[in-house]
Amino acid sequence: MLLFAAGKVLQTLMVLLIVSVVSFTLLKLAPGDPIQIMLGTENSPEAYASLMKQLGLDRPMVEQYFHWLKNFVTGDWGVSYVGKAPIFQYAFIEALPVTLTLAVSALALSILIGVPLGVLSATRRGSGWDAITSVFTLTGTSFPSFYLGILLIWLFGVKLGLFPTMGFVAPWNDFWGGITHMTLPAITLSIYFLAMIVRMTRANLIEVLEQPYIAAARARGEPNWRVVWVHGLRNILMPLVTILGLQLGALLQGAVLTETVFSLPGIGQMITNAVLNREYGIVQAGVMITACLFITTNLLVDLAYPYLDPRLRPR
Amino acid sequence: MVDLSADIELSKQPARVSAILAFARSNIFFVIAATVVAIFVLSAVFAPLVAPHPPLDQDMAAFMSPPLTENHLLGTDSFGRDLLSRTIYGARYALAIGFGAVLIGAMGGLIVGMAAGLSGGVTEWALMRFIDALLALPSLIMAIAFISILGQGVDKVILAVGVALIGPFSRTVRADVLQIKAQAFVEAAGLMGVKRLAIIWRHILPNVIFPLAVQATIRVSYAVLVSSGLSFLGIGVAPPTPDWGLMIAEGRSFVSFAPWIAGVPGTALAILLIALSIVGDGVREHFDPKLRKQG
Amino acid sequence: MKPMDLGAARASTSLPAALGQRIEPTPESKPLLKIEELSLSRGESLILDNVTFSLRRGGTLGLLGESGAGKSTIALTLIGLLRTPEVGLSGTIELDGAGNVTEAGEDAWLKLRGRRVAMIFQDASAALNPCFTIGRQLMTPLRRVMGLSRSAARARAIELLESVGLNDTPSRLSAYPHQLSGGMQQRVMIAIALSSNPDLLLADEPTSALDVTIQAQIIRLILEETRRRSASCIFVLHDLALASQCCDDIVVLYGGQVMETGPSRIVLEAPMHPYTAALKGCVLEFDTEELRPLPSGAPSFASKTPGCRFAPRCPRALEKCAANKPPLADVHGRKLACWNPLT
Repeated sequence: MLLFAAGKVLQTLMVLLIVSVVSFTLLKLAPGDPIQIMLGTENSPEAYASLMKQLGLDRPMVEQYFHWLKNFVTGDWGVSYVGKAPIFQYAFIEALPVTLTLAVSALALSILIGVPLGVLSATRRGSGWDAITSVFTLTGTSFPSFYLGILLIWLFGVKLGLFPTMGFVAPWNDFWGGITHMTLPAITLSIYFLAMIVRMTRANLIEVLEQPYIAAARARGEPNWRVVWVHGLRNILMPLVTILGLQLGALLQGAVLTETVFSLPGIGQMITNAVLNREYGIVQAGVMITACLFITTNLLVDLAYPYLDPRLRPR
Repeated sequence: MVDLSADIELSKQPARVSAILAFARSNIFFVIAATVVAIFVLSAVFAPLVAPHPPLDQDMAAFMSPPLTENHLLGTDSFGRDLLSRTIYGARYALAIGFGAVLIGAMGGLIVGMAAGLSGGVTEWALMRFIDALLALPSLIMAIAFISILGQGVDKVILAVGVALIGPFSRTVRADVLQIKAQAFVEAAGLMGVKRLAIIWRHILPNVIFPLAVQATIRVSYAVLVSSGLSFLGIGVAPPTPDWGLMIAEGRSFVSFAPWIAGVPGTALAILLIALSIVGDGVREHFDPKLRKQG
Repeated sequence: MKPMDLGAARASTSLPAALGQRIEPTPESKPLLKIEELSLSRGESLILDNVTFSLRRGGTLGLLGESGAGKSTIALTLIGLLRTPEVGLSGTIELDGAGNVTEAGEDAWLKLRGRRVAMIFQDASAALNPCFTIGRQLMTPLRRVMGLSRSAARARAIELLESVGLNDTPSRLSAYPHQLSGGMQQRVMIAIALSSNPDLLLADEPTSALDVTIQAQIIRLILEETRRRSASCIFVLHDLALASQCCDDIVVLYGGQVMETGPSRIVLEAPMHPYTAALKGCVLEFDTEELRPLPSGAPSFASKTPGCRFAPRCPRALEKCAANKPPLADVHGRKLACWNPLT
């Protein structure tokens, strides 16, 4: 067990290292001379050379990479030229909590609604309800989230005036304000996942409900609801969690778009603005943070497998 | 009895026609979706003939006029440009970028995946970790990173989204290569002394290309979504190009008093994406041997 | 030749000694289960066609036939698990004390399933939920059905596991199904089925997924435990040798129709139906090879045939066999449905 976990962790670190190499190379490929940009108008060959030496840019690439990696791991991510603030603080204290709040609420929303919807359509196969659900899953998985967000702003913000349509309020400062500000963004981001979870729940549950152990549970006198919600659901946990892990990328990229729709100052806005301002350090930070989130979540999913399916536990 | 006579009538027609009819009858959604995609493709190709106005023409007399205004069926935007015409021209960009990016992604995936599947040893291990690293980044984030280096523009968006798609493509290609490599006829060819390159060219490549083409069909809608997302963020295609993502972003500012500015291109994008994904699903269900077995 | 003698002779040679003395049938007692003209259709196809048989309290009955004969369908119907809208059921299933359950609703079945009727499934490894421990699967019915407290359920679960021959029982409770061998899994299934002291135990090919060496043990265990509780048992089998050893009565089915039924000693010693004879593989007037194979595997009955379903494969088929269904009539100590029986 421990060996299995250690192996997984090692593999994850390996991937992260490669991501960091790719990301570092990206930074080096970026057009424009960072020293030129930093010096601005006070440009003299001496100043240029001294800054180059100061930043270590005169040293070999490999050495520069390890220097950068050391700084990166220790949280020294450089300073934003535009904001004049340390990137690490900007990314972790300002942007990341916003993105995580959005992502977690969207995920919670889609699980809480999606699983029951999927169960209903799996147990009522071929009914009108099932037909409506299948149209919804088809539409939901391919509808562009940013356009959906604008539609929601128009309907709930402009026409009905029910929810605020812009900005972020931290729920840990102002709970109610945080909830109302997060409602539309969370719905926007959750639609894809909701549809995905409904589809996966339905497909997997239909398969599981045909298994002999389900008939056996019924034969033991277990009522229908227990057969479906206890015996059935327990057995689709693993495929469901797998899909959630694999779809985390979609969640993160959806968050980037949703943040722009609702002007939420998260990682997505951070990266987008950085691209517009040509702040490659911030783009790189954003790339690394997303990759870390994705990879660690999938590591957690891998490590959770033995708990989700006892058959994967060593005897 | 009724069924029987219908069968007889059908069999009089050429076999191919009846087969197509039977397919259409049992896959009504697929047919509708394919028709929708065809309409989009045709209007994109013949945009100058179909669109009532040039996409950049400003009608000084009609800023932000709502749909069903005279001369502007679907209204105009904040510059007085005809939304219907811009949306029709926008289909050009959406489809060109979508197909272009998938082509690049599929080609790149073919090369990386074949290399990983065929090499073995340390090279394979390294390539696999490289693919893992590519897969660790959501396509949109990776495309943003590439855009930050390449800059904005249609060609750059195609390249950025295409490169971002290499990861998923190469993973499936590698899996196919491994499967084919293990099959008897490949081993037999190797034993018979057929040269390695000839085996790859004659046996492995043809068997990889077909599933790759199916994969590509499925991913077109995804490429369109990512590229329009880039434009929506304002870092993809540069204005005043009539790109849907860009038009939706422009319309977002006017959503309270002129919702049609975002609504027209947004609806077009949504319809195209849904139609593309139905077509993709249909193609996969029809050709994917794994799915066929289940069904 | 008296059939009784034959049965005794067989018992001395091939019946496991542990099976002990058979309880002699007491015909005057009211049967536990009485099935009359039970028909079951699913969509267009008729899966059971006028099945009639009965089972006395404490008796064992074997349902015999090839796959697709409707044996498992009968078992599933008897525990109320074939209750989907596309399934049409007619006839009567009279369960002593519960009346006719053919039309019973889910509520009525919930009072029977796992309480008065229990079932042992074919493949225990698939019939135990892989995600729950043995203890949980054994204790849930004890707590929910029998209303035992947690500790009482646990004690009873250990007792049950011991009675089915598992050792190291307390630790088995926390084991997952995949950690047990196939034989042990089936023993656990038996323990679960017996946990509520059912009147009727349905055993759907309980040994077909097991090694030959354990088959006898499992059958013996089921017989012993049902007898100890004076419960009745219906075995679904395709193995005649096994049926002759463990069943008082047998019902031979083909294509959902009863071909021949009666005391197993009588029917299996001297089969009168060509199909029973073919199953037995004994050479009377024809070889088994003469059985005409159906065009595609298991028989399918998309359309209702007016005659005997076995007619297309029957070497003794007459013209009227395909046209008219032979009635189930009393012949030589058994019930037989054949126009041209072996004598």
